[in-house]
Amino acid sequence: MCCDRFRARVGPDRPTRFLLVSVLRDEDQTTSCIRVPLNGRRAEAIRDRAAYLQSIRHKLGLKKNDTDPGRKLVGPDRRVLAVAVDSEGQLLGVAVTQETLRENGYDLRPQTYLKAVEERRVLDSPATLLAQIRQNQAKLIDRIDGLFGRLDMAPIAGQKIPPPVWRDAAGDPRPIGKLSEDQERVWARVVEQVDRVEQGNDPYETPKPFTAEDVQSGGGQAAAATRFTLTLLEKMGLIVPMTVSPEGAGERAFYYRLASDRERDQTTADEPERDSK
Amino acid sequence: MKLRRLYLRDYRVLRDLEIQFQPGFGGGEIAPSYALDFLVGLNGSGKSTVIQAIAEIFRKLEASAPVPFIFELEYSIGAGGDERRVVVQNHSAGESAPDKPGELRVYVSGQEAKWSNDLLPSVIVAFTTGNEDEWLRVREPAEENASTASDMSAEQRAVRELPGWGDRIKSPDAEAESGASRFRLMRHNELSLVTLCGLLEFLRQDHVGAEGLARVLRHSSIERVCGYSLRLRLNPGLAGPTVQEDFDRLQRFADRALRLGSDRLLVYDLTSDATTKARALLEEFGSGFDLFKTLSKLQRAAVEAERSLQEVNVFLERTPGIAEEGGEPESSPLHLLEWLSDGEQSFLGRMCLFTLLRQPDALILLDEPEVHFNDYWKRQIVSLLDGVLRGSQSHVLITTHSSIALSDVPREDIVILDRPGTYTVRSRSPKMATLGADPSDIMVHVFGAPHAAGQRAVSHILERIEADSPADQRRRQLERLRGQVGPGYWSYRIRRALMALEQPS
Repeated sequence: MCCDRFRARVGPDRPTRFLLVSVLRDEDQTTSCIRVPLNGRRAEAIRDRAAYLQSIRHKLGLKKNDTDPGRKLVGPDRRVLAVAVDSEGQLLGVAVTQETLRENGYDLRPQTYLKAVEERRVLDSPATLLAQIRQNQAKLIDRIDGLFGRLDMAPIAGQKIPPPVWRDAAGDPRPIGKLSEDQERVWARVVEQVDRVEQGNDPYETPKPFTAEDVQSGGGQAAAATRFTLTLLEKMGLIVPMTVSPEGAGERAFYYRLASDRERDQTTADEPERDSK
Repeated sequence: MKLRRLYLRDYRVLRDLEIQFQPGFGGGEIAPSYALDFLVGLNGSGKSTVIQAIAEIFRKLEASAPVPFIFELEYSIGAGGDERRVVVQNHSAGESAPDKPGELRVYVSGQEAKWSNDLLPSVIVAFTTGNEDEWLRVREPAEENASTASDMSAEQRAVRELPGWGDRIKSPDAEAESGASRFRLMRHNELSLVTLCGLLEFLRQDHVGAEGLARVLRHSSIERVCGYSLRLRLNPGLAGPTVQEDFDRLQRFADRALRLGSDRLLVYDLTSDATTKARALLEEFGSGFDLFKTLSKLQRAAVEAERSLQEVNVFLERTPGIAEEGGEPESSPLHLLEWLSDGEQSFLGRMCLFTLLRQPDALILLDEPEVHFNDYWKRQIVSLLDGVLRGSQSHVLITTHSSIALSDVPREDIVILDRPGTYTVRSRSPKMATLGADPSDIMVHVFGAPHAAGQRAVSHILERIEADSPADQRRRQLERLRGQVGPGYWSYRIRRALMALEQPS
């Protein structure tokens, strides 16, 4: 009987420990292989032990000459009767023959009979670790603020999806003060950045994401004046910056869009106007 | 609040220095209700140090902490029948160790009394165009820790010592932030807030300094203040109840309120009913200065991301450009305050600061507020302050290098600090009358400049006048020079030299 123990990676990050047990049946001299997870999950039969070991080697990126991963606990060359391990894979005890015990001066420490495999890991210096913590702090605060923001968003269940463009009963929101001609041209392009939603008998307009290039007169790269005007409109609450995170590992994309009903603060005095729409 | 006398035994560059302030004296026909004094002197004479010392004395008194240097301060609080003369000092002529501060003694209208914060000015406002660190620095560790180190052995101290004071030191700024302190340093990074609050005071229109700020806006080519917006971060659990309360008060007056994640954007439209809107908001908070204190509290945090008030945006319409012949005037883009040049923002911010200073019984300490002002605006400083402070009982103490500003006050309101050697030991008033005087004369007689004109020009002219060359050659050189030199004293000197050449020897 031989018994191998492996530490493999299953999935992207999750390490598991398991026993791989090969059993030689005395009756018909056939060998079967069982995988026994040490995290309490059910054992499973492995049809092709060699193929299974090869797949683990592949997962761990081992080369041809690298030895098999894991630690051999019992085998033909190890005339012991049993081993005891805990669910974390720690060796608790090992059965050895009386002669072996005698030869070792009745030393009962399990590691005398099973050599522990050392796992070494080089840690960064405290200064480096502190520097990393400090650098990550700003990112962490940024992420937490983003999560706070999500907690703070009005529940989607009570909203129209997609949200309608912010309109007021007294008239559509306009920039505060008199825009210059160039700024007025940008604003005229901005208000066109909508999509029409046909839902039943109540069609409406919803904001469409746009970039500075989209509202630049004549197209092409956005002039500084266009970007300044967009900043001004953002400070007036007429447009809002937004990020679109695609599914999977794609790059996040940054846009502006017209303010929508989603941005209305529920406690403002103009809430009835929103309801009237 | 009127300062009467200050004595400092040994405070940095100042030694045995006594300054007599003379509020209301010498003003004659134009004596105002408030007091205005200018501190002048050469660089390094300790002008800024004097106003820092006054601020430190009041801050220590307010905190019931010992003043760590010997001083005596005499001032009055209130006016008319309610006026109280206060003398505070921590030295006594008979003490055996006169170099160390002694017990604090307080006299109110001649009677010995215990110190009470009722004796403080209603507010102490400081603004400096110089280094703010000197105003924020805490000079000594807390008294309660004084014995800890002496109880240890040298070995223990060596083992237990950590570098610096870490985060244990509470800065005076933090005290001000708590809202309890009457001391308020108006920081450079708060100028956009100061500008907003000052403009709201201006828009309220019943402000006595409104005309002065109207001139400032015209000069800055600002036609109209259209509105403003405030972006506040209200992270649940992090923003305390007072932040939420302040936010609710601000939100009630907003025309639009947007919810952007944890941030709220409050937008205020002033294109119609600006006066009514500004008045309503300021009445809610008390005054422009009180609104500033609230917003400033929301803006202060050790980490930028932790600030409740993230942005202050002011929308400005600028004066249209001058039309070319036969054409329409060029329209100016709608502006954000932050798009003005640094100089314009700084100028407008300081002018708006003046409009916030209308506080009863206040002590206002301004450290070279005219820095970066052109001469046109230097001559407006006193007029602008006068417009704001008229009728109040405050004392304004200004350090300056401006001869022009000094021509607006009588000599009794000017304190010259003399530093003959290592230390500044004497103060005095100018010998010449300064009110309405020519700034050139003030430059010479108050600041001690040998001439009012530039040194290069003076040296060149004197060289030509005193040249020992043949008469014809001198005449030609002086005639040529007369064509170059502008009107005034040096032109006169050249003409005199030419006349001397005409006279028979």
